[in-house]
Amino acid sequence: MGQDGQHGTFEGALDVSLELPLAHAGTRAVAQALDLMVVSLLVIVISVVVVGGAIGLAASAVDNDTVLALAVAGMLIFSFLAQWGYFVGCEMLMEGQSPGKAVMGIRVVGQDGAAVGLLASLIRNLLRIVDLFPMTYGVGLLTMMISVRGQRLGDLAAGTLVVHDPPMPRTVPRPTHFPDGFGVDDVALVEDFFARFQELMPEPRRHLAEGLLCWLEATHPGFVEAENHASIEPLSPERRLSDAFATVRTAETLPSVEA
Amino acid sequence: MDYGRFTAEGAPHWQATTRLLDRLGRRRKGLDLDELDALAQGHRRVMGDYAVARTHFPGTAVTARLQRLAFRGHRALARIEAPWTRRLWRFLVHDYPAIFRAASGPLTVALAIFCGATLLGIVLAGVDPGFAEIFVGADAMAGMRRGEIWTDEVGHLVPPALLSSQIFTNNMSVALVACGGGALLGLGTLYLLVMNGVMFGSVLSLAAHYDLFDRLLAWIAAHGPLELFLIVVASAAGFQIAWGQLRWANQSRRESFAAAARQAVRLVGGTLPWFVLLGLVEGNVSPLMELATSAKAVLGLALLGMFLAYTRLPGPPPPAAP
Repeated sequence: MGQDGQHGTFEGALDVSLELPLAHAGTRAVAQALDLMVVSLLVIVISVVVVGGAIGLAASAVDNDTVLALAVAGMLIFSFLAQWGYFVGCEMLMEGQSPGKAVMGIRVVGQDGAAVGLLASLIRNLLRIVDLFPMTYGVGLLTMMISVRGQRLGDLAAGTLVVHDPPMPRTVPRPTHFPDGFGVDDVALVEDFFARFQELMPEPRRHLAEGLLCWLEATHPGFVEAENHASIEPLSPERRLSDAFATVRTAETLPSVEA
Repeated sequence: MDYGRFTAEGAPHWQATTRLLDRLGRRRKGLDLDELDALAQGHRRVMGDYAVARTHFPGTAVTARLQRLAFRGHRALARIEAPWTRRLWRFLVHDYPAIFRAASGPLTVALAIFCGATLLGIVLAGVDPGFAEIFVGADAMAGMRRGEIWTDEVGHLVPPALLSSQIFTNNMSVALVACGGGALLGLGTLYLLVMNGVMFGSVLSLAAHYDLFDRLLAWIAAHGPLELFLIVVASAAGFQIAWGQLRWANQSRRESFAAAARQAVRLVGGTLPWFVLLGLVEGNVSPLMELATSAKAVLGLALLGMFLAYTRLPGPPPPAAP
């Protein structure tokens, strides 16, 4: 495991190193806030369901006090588990993530990059009470600032890191056909355009597409079909680019690119 | 190197590896040995392809996706653990007794601090019974002056199931905070242990002052001995963490802290099932006023004896010879 203050580097198979950006304090704080909302919501929903159910049952039961006592006891246990077990449970079931972390695209891993184990998860989440001290993550923020790898006290004790591991991109158009002599930077540029296709507003998207078309016509004449002005409904620049690069919409882990 | 050809040649292998990883999941039950072998080979290929892509096609979608796939495979294959049920069984039956015995130093310290704080509470409340009001509250204090103790009410008013769950969740929280508080260089643990000791001592003193000691004893005899001891054990876990932060003779401070935290969390983790048992006793047996205090005391000491006997179980079996 190496580090430069910004990245976690893990030695993988074949001595190939894997480098992932470390999660920033702000990202982690937002993930934490989201998780607290999830926990609160869970406790409220379960409380309403359990108490509502118990009141309904108690109305028809002979010993309604016992039913209500059992319901409240169940809620107490659930609240305890939510308080102490939510993060551990999520990190075990979601491979080092929790709903908040998943939304923010961050993940807890061991210092060797392996999935976080149960003991490590227990340690880092038990020591959260100290990281929270004295007020909102006072100790945690202080240790994150001091630590080279941005670890809070719980991470230092557990030997864990929080890295950026954004979710797989949703279905996006991917180019599958490139002109001869297209360089790596050119490929990256075109892929980036199509990856951001849906995020761009129509006007800037058209503007970018027109720029790309001009550039392609200058550097690889004939790759993009010429605009048919005689057509009743001429193709948009985006459509012409899409046709030229033979894009496919795919959610596959890796695109199958034509040779 | 041609980007299109590289991707076209690699894609079937990468997709096959992705499918195997999908099936592997967290439980590692989805694959047989041949498939695991295929996954390991697929992962090596992904790592190799990632190295090539990083060198020849930096910034491209394939490089970014290969990095994700390589990281995913690395996470899954770098550490494969036995099923949690097997690990839990091994921990409870073999590991915990050895962990407990290895913590004799911090246990002695925690026990001494608790006994000292209890003594302090007895003395302080003995000198000024009003001192105990900080812990028991004004209403309970007024009740004791009238010859009533709150434990009588608790037992009668709160149903056993609710009382049990309230007590064991609260005690577990106290134990976990006592352990975690050790990471503040032991100050959190020390504060909690001293406060609990002084509170316990002052309540004992107060009960004796108002001639209610036998009724207090009737309440605590069944669950008190082991419950208090487990809080001491949890505090010992906290002191272990602090010791790891403060003393790092043959290793870095970080390693020493991490090693101590691993031991401490295991030490407090083994106490948690006992808190559930104690909660059941406190909710169902302790409130029974018709049960003689001596019988409750026998039960309380038997529970403590059971726990101590459990910690004498032999350690893990030696690994089998190759």
